[in-house]
Amino acid sequence: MALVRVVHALAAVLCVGLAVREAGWWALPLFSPPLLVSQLSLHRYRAVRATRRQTVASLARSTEMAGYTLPGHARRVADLASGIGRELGLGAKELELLEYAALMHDIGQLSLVDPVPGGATALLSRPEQRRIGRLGSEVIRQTGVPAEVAEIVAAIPEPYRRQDGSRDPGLPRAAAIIRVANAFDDLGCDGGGREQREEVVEQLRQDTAHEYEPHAVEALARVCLRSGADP
Amino acid sequence: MEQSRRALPTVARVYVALVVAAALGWVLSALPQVRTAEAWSRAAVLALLFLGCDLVARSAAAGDEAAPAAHFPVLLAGALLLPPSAAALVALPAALLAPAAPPRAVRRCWNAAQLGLSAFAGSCAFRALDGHRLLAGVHLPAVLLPAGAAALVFCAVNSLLMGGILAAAESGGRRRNWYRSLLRCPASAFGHGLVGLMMAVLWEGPYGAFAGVLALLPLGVAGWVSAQSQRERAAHRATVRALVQAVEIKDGYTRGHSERVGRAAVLMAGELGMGPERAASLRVAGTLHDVGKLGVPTRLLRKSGPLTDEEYRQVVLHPEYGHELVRGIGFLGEARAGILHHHERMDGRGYPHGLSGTEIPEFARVIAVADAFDSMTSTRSYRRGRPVAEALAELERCAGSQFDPVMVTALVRALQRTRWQPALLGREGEQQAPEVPLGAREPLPRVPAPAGALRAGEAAGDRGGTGGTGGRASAWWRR
Repeated sequence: MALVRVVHALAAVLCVGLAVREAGWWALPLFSPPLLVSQLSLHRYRAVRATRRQTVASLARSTEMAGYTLPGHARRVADLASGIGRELGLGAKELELLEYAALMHDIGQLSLVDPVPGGATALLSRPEQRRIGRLGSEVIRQTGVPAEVAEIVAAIPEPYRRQDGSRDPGLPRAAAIIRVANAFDDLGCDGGGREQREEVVEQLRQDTAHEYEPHAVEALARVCLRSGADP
Repeated sequence: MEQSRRALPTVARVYVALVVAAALGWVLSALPQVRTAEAWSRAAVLALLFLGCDLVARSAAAGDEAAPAAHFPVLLAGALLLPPSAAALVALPAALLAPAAPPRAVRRCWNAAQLGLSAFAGSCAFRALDGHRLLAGVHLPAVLLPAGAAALVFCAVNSLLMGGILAAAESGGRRRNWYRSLLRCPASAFGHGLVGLMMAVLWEGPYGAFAGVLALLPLGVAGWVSAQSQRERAAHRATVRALVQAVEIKDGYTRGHSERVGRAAVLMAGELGMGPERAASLRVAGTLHDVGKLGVPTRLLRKSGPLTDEEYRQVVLHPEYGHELVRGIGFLGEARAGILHHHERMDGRGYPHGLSGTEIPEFARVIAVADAFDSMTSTRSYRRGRPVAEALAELERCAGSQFDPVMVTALVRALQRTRWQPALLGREGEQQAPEVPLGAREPLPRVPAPAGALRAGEAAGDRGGTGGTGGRASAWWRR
């Protein structure tokens, strides 16, 4: 976006400059306004984009306000998942989808009459997790974020390998990443230091046969144990 | 195909045929006058440019109706730079190659003829005022008059031809849009004209076509961006809907309520003479007024008996939760105040802050009325909705104490013009909903409370007041 603005501004200055050379100073007041107006429309676009991001963030915060998730859970999972995604070399577009899905992955919890203790969905039974994912993806379908986001959220409860050890080829990679990030935050977010994080990562590693995608877990380990900084 | 052919009435077909014939006649008869190779090469470059702009505009606007005016400056530059019949050909390749809805051939011919005639007329006007000589010598202030005339003629011919086809082929709303496009004609002629003139001036300079194309770049960027903005805006509306949907997951009783409150609030905004910007903001505020219920435990929202003190205290917090939840959303501004104060009362006995009279933000006063109105008229599983007239009478009765009389009047007037569609009755709701005795409820006794200090007392008072009418039946009062 910044690049577009710069190109636009350069082209505009060049145009007006050439026009002034060609036609004298009359060109300046005559031809600047349309260019300024188009520069303004770029500015407005940025504002509109920001507004939508904020509304999506509000939607993500809604579970936290309703007491279904711990404060900042959605944001933390989104940051962690983005970190893992970058570590695994996801493209810019995939990363954006990943972030949206991570922000909204718990929306379906709003359908529960009573919150899960601590918001830890990683500890729920699979059918219950699936129901939450499905309800959440129905809401997300309405948000105008790309449809893939809803698919990702619906697929988060699915284990990485089925009971018979086969893999579901349709499982989005982002879903596996968010599953890992969510489990990490559910299990280890009570303000633990590096030791506790190591412990939780170890716990996730135990489950890489079926539950959690091993590459995502290793990427998580690299992200959150890196130099002991908080994830 | 058969069906779509029938979709275009005969009158429209005759009209299209006439316009195409006129375009062919004029352009072909004048064509031999275009002799120089330079004119032809310019026409070819401009036609390519126009084709490119058209493709970009179509891909950017994907799905939505493309803004057709985004590349008019290219046509206008053609009208200034070329003799009339060559200018008319600039739009030809794009019009014939672009995807069109069926009947495809008719539409394509129509587009080519319509744009061609507009450019032809523009170029004629420019030449009649001796513009081509002034442009070649770059007499800048002097060339403005012919260029302006050309742009005006171009836009006027374009609007008139479009008006004709809309009158012949369409009905109702789209016709009315045409009058508006005719009124906007001078403004758009001014904007497109300036850019077209800039293109022409640069084109006549030492860098020729290259500089001319450069002039188009900023415009192209702006066109692309505004298409993106439109998409983002649509996405934002969808996100707001999703927030509402999230509330409705928790609180099944209010299905559709939020959207209807938004709609009623906009109707009232029309009566109150609010501008379109504020009305749009009010719609968002009305739609999101209950978003704070996300913060209230689902157990309480779905509870069917009377609430305990403690539970009621949690329910009345919802405007504040809502205010907090939409905090990050920059543009909401006035709408946030509407969400926070939609349960205030004119006599100061509302919550959360106990504001009274005009201390209550205007949006909140509108939403309070719209909210109560929709709650009364919609059928819920535990009671039948009241008729519109009765709900209005009840609102008028409470005007002054609970509601702002101005807002109640606005709603009454708005509903005289527009038919209100109350909540559709649920299938099982139709049979089960019991008639609720319509005993007029007095405003509830409440301790006037500054800020949040006395909320507990208020809550108890309110509950005492509604207890008599029995549990759920009075729920709209509190919600």
